[in-house]
Amino acid sequence: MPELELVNVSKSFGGLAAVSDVSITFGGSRITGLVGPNGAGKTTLFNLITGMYPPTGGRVLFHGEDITGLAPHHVARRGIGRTFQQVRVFGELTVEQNAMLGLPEVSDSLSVGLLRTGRGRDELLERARKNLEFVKLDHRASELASDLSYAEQKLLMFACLLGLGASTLLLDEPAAGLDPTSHGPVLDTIRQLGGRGHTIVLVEHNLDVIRSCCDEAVFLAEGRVVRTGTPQELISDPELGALYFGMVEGVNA
Amino acid sequence: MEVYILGILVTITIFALMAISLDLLVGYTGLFTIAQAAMFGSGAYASAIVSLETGLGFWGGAVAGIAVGAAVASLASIPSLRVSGDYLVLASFGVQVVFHGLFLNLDGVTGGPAGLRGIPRPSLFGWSIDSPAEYLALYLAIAVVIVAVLRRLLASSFGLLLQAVREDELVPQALGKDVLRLKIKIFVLSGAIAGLSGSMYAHYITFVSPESFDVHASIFVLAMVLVGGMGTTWGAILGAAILILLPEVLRFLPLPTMSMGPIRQIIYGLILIMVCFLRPRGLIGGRS
Repeated sequence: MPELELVNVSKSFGGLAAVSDVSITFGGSRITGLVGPNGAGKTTLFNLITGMYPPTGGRVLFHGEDITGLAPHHVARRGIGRTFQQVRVFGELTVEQNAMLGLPEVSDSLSVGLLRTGRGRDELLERARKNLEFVKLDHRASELASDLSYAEQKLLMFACLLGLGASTLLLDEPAAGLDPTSHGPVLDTIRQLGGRGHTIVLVEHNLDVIRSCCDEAVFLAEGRVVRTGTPQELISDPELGALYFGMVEGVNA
Repeated sequence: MEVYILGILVTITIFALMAISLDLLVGYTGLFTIAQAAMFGSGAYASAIVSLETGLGFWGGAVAGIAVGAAVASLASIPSLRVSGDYLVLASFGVQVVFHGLFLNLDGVTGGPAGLRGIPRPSLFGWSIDSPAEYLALYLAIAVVIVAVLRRLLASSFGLLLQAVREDELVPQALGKDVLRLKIKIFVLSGAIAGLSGSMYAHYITFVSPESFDVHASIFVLAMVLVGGMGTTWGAILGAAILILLPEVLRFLPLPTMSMGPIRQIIYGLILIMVCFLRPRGLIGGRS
């Protein structure tokens, strides 16, 4: 059974069709890249999967269960974690507190808040630290998240997702805004997450990132799936290249 | 003189609790509201009515005050589930105006503009609380218990989640947190404490009337939180102390009787403006 399956998913905003009849299957610990020009519907697809928007048509299945239209927190609890295009860490909280926020035990429960003391809290802290170790930020645990560099804040977002225990990770432009020297740690972490058995879907404009990270890629344009294949196949396809760059130019013009 | 000072300290204790209840929303969770006097007043009226009608006294009244304060707060939380920022301020202002209108016009329940008189004083194990010293002892004990419980809660993972929601509502949802339920809970907790402080107020003054619970009262408490420092608990306590002490201190200024009132108001206003300019994060230095 596939991990995550989109079946004829559509979304329109007023008269504008942002996503039209998209069917894709993700799973098997693969890293899939969503590529396509601006406005192709890549981020909208993430928002439809995670319940940020309800789709106007179609279904989203996770482990065979219909999760279409569930509230974002329910989708996350079922095991789908996501990051956002802009870095969104809690700048006024410490790195360690950020990592703790991913843990399911950190909740709106008043009784847990009042009763969980000493050992219980230490155990949460321990797990948060382990996730920080994975992204190599454990040495900065007690600093404010706003003091981290941009790349480090991206890594911190991964540590939060690890705390959530999500099996599927949707990463929205993980390399955007990074200079080439800080690509390395972020991409290494994504590959390691893939190696740990996570199913990863990433939206990315940087084709080098797609080539070096992804097992397969899906090309989207104007809200539709145009082609699916290995990153190399897609990138070397002159027709897609024209579509991609033509549209980018069209948008920029 | 001693009675006068003790009386001021009792008033500070009551308003400190109310300011703490507002700080839960404004300071800890970033829900900027000006409806705290609606919850405070609902608690005061509920407590007055229950103790006058049933003979359950202060303790029965306090339970009613907490319950009604929490219920009003859960109503006031509804706008916050859909709007935030400026719109939430406006919506909470609406809640405040509606409740002040109810206090003023539900003559059969609230006594209308004349209010309710003869609210019984508290008693503890058969011992009647009459003097300001006894009030201070009882009310301080209640306040200490509440502050201790709140500080523990705010230092826990629940408090951490409040601070996260204050910064960003979307990411906590993407991390599996039920932000709507969290908001309702913090409103209810805030309303329960405001309702309790209203009950304490009613049984101290022994009289309630609508003008104590108008929008000015809500802004007065908001000023306490801002002057003291948001999101610190101690800031709310300090802010309450300063804003209640200040007019009392100004009372001793050698001013001609005729112009005393307006001049005191002007000095009071100027001091508040100075605090805002010189310590924009509040005296304790809470969050900005």
